[in-house]
Amino acid sequence: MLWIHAAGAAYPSTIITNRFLEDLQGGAPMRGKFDNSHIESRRSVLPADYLRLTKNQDIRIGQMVAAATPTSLGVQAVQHAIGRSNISLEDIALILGDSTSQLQLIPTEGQRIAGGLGLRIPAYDIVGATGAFALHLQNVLHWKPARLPKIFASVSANAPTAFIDYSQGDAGAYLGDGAGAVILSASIPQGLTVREVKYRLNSKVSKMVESDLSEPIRVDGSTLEKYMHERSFACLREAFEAHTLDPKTTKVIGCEFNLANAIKGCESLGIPAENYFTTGPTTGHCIGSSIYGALAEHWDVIIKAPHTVITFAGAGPCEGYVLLEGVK
Amino acid sequence: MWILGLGHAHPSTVITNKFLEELDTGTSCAWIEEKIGILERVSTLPLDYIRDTRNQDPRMAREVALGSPTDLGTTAAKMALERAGVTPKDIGMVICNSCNPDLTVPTEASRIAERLGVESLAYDVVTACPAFALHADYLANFREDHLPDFVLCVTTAALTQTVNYNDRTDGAIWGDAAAAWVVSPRVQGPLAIVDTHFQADPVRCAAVVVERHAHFHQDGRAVRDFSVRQTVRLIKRLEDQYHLDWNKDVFVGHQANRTMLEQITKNREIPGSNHWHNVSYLGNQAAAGAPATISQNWDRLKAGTRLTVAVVGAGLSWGSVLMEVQEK
Repeated sequence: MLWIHAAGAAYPSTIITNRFLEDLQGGAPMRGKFDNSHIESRRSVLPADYLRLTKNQDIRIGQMVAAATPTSLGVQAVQHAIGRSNISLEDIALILGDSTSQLQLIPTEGQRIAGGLGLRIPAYDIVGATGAFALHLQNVLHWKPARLPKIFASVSANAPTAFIDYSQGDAGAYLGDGAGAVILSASIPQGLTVREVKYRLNSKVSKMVESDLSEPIRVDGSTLEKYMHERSFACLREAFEAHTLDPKTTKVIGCEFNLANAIKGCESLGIPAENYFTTGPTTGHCIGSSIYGALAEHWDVIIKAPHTVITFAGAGPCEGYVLLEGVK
Repeated sequence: MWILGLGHAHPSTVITNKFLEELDTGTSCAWIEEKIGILERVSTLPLDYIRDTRNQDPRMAREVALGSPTDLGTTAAKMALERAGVTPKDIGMVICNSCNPDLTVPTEASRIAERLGVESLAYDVVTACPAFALHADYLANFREDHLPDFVLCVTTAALTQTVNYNDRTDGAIWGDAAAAWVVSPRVQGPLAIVDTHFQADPVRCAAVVVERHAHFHQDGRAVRDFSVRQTVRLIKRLEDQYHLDWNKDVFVGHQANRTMLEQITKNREIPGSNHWHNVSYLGNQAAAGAPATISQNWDRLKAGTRLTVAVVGAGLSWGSVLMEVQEK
């Protein structure tokens, strides 16, 4: 069994609005993406003035001027989660990290975050990108209970905007920076119960998203949007069928690019729009951190819901769902 | 758990101490041999490129490299599969550690899996140099029924691509390599894993850094002191618990520095004949060094011998794996 004691999130302060993005790319080309995604703004570690002046065409400079890092955001996310729990920081005995937009390759993001928290504990990365939350939970659910510490954390921290060339392409419309963390235990029942996790990787490696070491991030927005919707919806339906969930009371957390499609999908299963939660419209898609962020933001609702399905599909390409049970 | 097959891969370009001396950075063959005991190292970079540019802009390294970490990892994996007598279709999971992958998305594991024709879950599990120990300890976490028959572990790095060849020390250290091994929780093989251990002290993680767009850097003295002390501790724990006999058991350390390894083996009274190493002519191959050493000695494995691998590195992290060679 596994319990999520608390969730936390952190975002940088620069807000990239749709208007700001349109100005960077000379107007119209991005309008369609905004209409479909319902993303109104996204957060960035990059200063607005810097973006306005340079459009981050040399991504090396972006990293040098960034006002925050995935690590600093990850540290804040863990502290946020701790603050909402009755756990002390020193209780955490393991950190599993994830990042696909890290500013340093080694040490790993999990190690940097643990170091930033002053923790002298095992820490390493299990890289799951958009599905990191599910991959980490699936891992620990399959571990021998005796091998798990009492309290441990899963963190995903991302700053993809530092690697976006804002003079062209789709990535700037969709992606935002943020970090999320959950405090977990397999032996102390508290908070949300993790009932089931499915994380799957499709074997054909996709070029829908490529994060190259020295080139700007490449995102095939329309292909990824389509994939995210089709597979997120398929996984949502799978979860509902496997567990005969009540669509009226079950909450859904997703991270699709296209919010309109996500809600249509939910409504086709009888799930009202107000039961669907995401942070995309205000933070952009923060890759692995998106799910953690939505859980943190809507914790007070999720904790009271009989069930919550977290559904995801994204770069990898990965897909799956997590079924949570609220406090009875 | 058993290791059924091990493989290794190295690029063919050799960087001699004479070549480094002629770069006129203030180093000398005598200094390198005395301080780190490395005579040659191997690189994916052409010698002309190093001579002409000193790799001042490490982003250029990837464009001129004669091979990539993914190439090396795939080659090593093929050798491991062949020795294990399994096909790509038999593999149920791939985990990969990469210190400087060409892409962070898609992951190194999924790209290697695709090249091999493996259709299974594939994701990165990362800690840099102690990855052989991490992967063994990580897999030991799993309940046996949640692991497939065959897991492919890969570690790969091309850290010569991150070196500033105007620096008299860093240029002498690194060599590029990959290693891979096939593990099974239920099918017996030549190496039985008897004990695994992994730990970290992330508070000191800034001591060794592989930057995304800049040169590698480390606090050499601090890292060296940590490496010797921690390796000795790792060996002592196994000596005390398993009564190792260095007259017949074998030690393989982190292949960072031959002089340091000799300090360790002198401390533990391990005779030269039972100390396997390859750092002198391959350089510090990051996490591939130790498993590549065993792979290179695959035909020398004698039933009843116990192999101790004790590895340390970035994170700061460290770990050990004790294996026993089985009867054929």
